[in-house]
Amino acid sequence: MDAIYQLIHDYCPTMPDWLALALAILLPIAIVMGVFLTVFALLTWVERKALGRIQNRRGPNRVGPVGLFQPIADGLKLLTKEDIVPNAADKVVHFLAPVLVVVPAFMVLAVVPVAKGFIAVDLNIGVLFALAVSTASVLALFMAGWASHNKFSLLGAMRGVAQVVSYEVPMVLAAVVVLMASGSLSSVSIVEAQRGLTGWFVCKPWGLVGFVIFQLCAMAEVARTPFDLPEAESEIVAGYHTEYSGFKFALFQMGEYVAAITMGGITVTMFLGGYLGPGCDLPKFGWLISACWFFAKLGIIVVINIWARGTWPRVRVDQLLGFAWKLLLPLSLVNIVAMAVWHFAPNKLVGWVESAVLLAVAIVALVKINAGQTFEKRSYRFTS
Amino acid sequence: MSNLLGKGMIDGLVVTAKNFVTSYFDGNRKDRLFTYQYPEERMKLPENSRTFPFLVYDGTPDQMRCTACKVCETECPPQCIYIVMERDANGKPLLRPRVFDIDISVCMQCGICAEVCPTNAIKMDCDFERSAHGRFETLLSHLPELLKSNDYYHQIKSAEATRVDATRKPVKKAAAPAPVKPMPTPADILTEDERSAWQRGCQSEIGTGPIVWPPPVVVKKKVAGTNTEQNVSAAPLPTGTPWHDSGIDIAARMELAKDRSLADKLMAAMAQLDCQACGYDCRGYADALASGTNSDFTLCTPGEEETKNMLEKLLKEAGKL
Repeated sequence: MDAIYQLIHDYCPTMPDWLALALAILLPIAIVMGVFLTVFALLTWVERKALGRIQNRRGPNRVGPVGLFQPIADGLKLLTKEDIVPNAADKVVHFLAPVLVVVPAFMVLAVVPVAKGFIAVDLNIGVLFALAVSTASVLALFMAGWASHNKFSLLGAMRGVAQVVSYEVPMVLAAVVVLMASGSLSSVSIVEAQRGLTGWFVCKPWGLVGFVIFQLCAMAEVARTPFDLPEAESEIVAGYHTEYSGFKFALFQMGEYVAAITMGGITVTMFLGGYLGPGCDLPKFGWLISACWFFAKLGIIVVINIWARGTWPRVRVDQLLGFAWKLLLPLSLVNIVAMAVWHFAPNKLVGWVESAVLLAVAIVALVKINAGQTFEKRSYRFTS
Repeated sequence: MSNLLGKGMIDGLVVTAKNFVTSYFDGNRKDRLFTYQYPEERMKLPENSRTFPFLVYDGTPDQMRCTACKVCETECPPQCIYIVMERDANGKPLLRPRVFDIDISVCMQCGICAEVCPTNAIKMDCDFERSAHGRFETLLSHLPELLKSNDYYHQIKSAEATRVDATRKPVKKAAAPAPVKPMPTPADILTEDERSAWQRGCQSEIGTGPIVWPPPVVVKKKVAGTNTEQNVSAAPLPTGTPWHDSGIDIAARMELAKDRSLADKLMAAMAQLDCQACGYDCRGYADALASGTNSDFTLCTPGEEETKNMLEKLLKEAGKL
């Protein structure tokens, strides 16, 4: 923001201060919103295409070249649809929920460094802000479920709350190792701390485990398959947005997808080196190259999301909560210890081996402990 | 190794990744991406598929197979078929429909019309692109749209059409040796005035009493070879089937066959269309009823109730029932 303010002053010294300030505030917002809404539109298209190919279909290919304008057609269709509010619904809350679900998803974007020197606000508590705000979407989700006055909506919302609250804990603990390594909560400082050939945190044993935990938790947090229990269509119709139609439904979809993208952006920032990559420091086009690196890494996360969605079936509620509390939570605690061991080791090699062994033992032990929890194979009386 | 943690999940990822990537190489095979790109690409519909009925013609559209026997109209469960038989200027039926309407908004695509058709004229189509903007006129098919060639039938249902062709030929051959004897029409034997007088008479007498055909009028006619006009009595031939004309009222037909054998009387009660709805021509059905090889007197669909009642009466009188 300050940099843009300075830039406006340099090029246009006659501009009044208040206008320059307003421009400096609004410009980054416009750019970030524009870019990420385009990415969101593209993501829906990519997802439908990829899922189609995975399921022996072609996916959308009617609107525009190879179906590229499908998101526009979908948007127009949802805009023109009738907006139905149930008679028994709490009208105000029912209306507010889809608005609120989009807000946190976009607010997180404020602290994602999209390119070198390009971040909407470089908060010194950036990661904390991101984690706190992204959780706020669960409030909108519960508002939607409760206000709809529908048992499926309420069930979905309850599931959503249980899920987000459960996965928030290992997620924050997995982020702790990154904060320990970088010594800062600012997202730009975290990215800058990952410089070097193997500087990305994902290249370290604790970083890898942290990345996997964080990624799984991010998927659960934005309720994507295999953790899409709040809107499990085969069980509870559409969960918390059962009673939403038209543009409100579109807002829920948008909130969900934008949240998936922004969580991907946070993951990239914290574990995959953000905008870092060869050529990102070039004086002239460094910002463009670094932006390309950021979006390439974001693309990888998105592809992993889509790939997982196309492959894994939805988990049960008990499996979902058991996975968070019995496996991810202890493992993320061990991960913090492993990070400490790595940090205080006499040299890098020792630290590497020690933390890797510690994590491996922890994983095997946790799996063994939890293995006893599997159900017995069911036997039927009347089958041979 | 097979019990390694998470191996099943990785295996699943491999399967879907393989599916995704290979679809770009063998995606044109229909066992891989089996979506038909509908408007450009069309599936060959199976022979058993059916949508709405159509009428088959051999050669040109006026050689239609339909004899307007109305069996389909009678049998159609939702009553969506409407048929009016073609008649010539004298009211003589021409064994083909003048009006043949099918309301496809009512049609339930059951195929019963095709099953009961004695002449294999009505068959089920495979054309499913019948959406229209209006509920009434656009969904009411008339005779010109309904008529489709036998070649088209072969195109959409080749095996079935070949089977039908094989069964049709012997029927035609059997029918050929016994051509219907052309009856003298009023045009042949009456002068212009007399004919119109007779027609007026017919029209006024319908429903009031028996019409005697040929009319018991003494006509003046030039006899070949002589130049004198001679009185000729137009009496019915003692043999033959003068009643074999569906333009004649059933009462008049029975009058004509009054002194004949049971088989002739039965035949006179038929609708005289030779439509084969019963499985025979009119002569054959009468013989079958008379000889007792077929005891079902309800098969003459075009004759409707009056034929049925007459046949029942005749058979009862003869002690066959």
